[in-house]
Amino acid sequence: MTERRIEVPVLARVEGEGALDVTIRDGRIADLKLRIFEPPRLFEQLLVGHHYSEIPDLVARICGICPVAYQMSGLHAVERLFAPDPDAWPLPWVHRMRRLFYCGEWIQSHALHIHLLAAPDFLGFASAPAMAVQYGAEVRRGLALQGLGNRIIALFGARSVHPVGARLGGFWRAPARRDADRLAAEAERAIPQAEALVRWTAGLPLPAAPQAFNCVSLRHPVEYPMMGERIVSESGLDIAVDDFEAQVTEHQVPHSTALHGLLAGEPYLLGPLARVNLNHDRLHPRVTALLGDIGVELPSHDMFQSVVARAVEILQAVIEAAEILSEYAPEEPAYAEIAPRAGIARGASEAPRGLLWHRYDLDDAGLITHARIVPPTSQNQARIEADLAATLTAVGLDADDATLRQTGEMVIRNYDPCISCATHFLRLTLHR
Amino acid sequence: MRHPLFAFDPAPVTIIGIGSPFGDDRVGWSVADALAERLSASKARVLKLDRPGTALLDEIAGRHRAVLVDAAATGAAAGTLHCIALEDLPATSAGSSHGLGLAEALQLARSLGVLPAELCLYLVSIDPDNARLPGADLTPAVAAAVEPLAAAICKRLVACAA
Repeated sequence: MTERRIEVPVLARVEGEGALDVTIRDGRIADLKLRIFEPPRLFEQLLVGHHYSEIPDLVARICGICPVAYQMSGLHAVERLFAPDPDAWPLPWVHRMRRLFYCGEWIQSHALHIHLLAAPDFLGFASAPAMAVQYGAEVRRGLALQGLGNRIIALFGARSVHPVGARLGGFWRAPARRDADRLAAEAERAIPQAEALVRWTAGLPLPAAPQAFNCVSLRHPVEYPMMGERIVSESGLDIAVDDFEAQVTEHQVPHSTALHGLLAGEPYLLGPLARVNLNHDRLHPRVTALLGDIGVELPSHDMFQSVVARAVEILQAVIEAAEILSEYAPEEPAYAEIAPRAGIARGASEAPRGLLWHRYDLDDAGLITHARIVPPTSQNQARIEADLAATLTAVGLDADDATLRQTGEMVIRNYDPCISCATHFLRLTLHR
Repeated sequence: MRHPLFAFDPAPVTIIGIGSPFGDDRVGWSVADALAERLSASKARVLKLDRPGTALLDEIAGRHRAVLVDAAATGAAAGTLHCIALEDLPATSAGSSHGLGLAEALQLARSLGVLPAELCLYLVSIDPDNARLPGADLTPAVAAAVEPLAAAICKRLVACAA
């Protein structure tokens, strides 16, 4: 019997800390563990005893990359309890502004991932700074897009990291028309840049490695999903946000401080590729036209296409942001009062990395008695492990350690895992 | 626009303290505060950032002069001052969770051709065990380094501007 262990002790270019342990025995993968070892953050317990009005500012602290997503899922949950009619709530102006706010987060998070984390893999560079020497124009374009996203977030939240503008019913204040007009012009100029980015990612020398997997995302009657009432899957699931808990099981695994999520006992995929696969009929006509023009076919079951999906969502978000900003008029107050009530609040939104589901049990005083936060990375973890086993086997388990290690990291980066959020992430240890 | 260097009132130097609210990791901010008190806005643009990465890139890109102050676990005694060249900054991306570390951000700025022509990088040595406590004061050895470093940076700026 021959046994070989391959270790990636600290995964680089992922958000947070994790490691990968692979044991190869007699030419097969005997064991594969994506280990997440950031300490569990116990954030859910921290929320207990706090008032519902504190949710947006507290949960924004869970992640420096996707604070808007945490705020929006939390507010969605509480508002669905207090004002159950989705047709009446939120106010149309608030709904548009939240989409704009969320567009900012998608743009900055996706631009960061494509240019600084993922692209060096596909172009054969060890790091973004090394890639930037040869691909300076592309990296500059990516950073400019990221800057636009940050400025959109700061328009509402005063700052791009842990923004403070969101509140129950809307925003604490409406942005000044002058600031919105300046950003409207910038967003309009960014559209051709985002189109060029989609063309560039579609032309990257991406490996072709289709796999079978089940995509899950929110689904909205007309919009490309950011917040929504229905959760759908390729396998035919179509459930209310309230019924998520009954369908998805989370279980603890000894090698990780994140919980693994399974749908009907099987791994599933969340995030840009899942969203675009399930919702390409909701993309802006200008995005659809470009995809037809360059021959991007959807749905795709090749995880390497997730970099293209991310660029597609940047374009979608830039176009939408430009449209919302071009028609911007401030409203005062920028929120609506809403009468609280006790009960179970459940809500979800599409974080850059996928479906982010929240539940808060509120008592008569409006205090949180129980909180549950199901972030996308923990839900994707089982899918990442399945992909790793398939891809490493396809590359050949007799390949040298460096090749297997590099392949493993590349696979993991396709999911843009945010380990800080999931810990409840990454190093590769190969045992053979 | 004023000429950035060759003018009687050159554009202000950008001074950035990098840190966090965690114990001795705050020293970069403390030095920035001390410099904001000593230097007028026309002389220096003093900023405090909570992480390196692309936000740092935004603030230094295309500037002619920048001074960065950060805490670092250098192995030297806590409070020891280091003025180092970019080339000597170890790349420590592996331990960094969100995007880029200081060395990577500066390397990216150089790759993109937006690194300030004159970049001073000051590190204050800290014990990493004293950089985890939220709200904790600076430890005495690190606190004692703040004023001497602020004075040294002022002296250097005056020498450069003269």
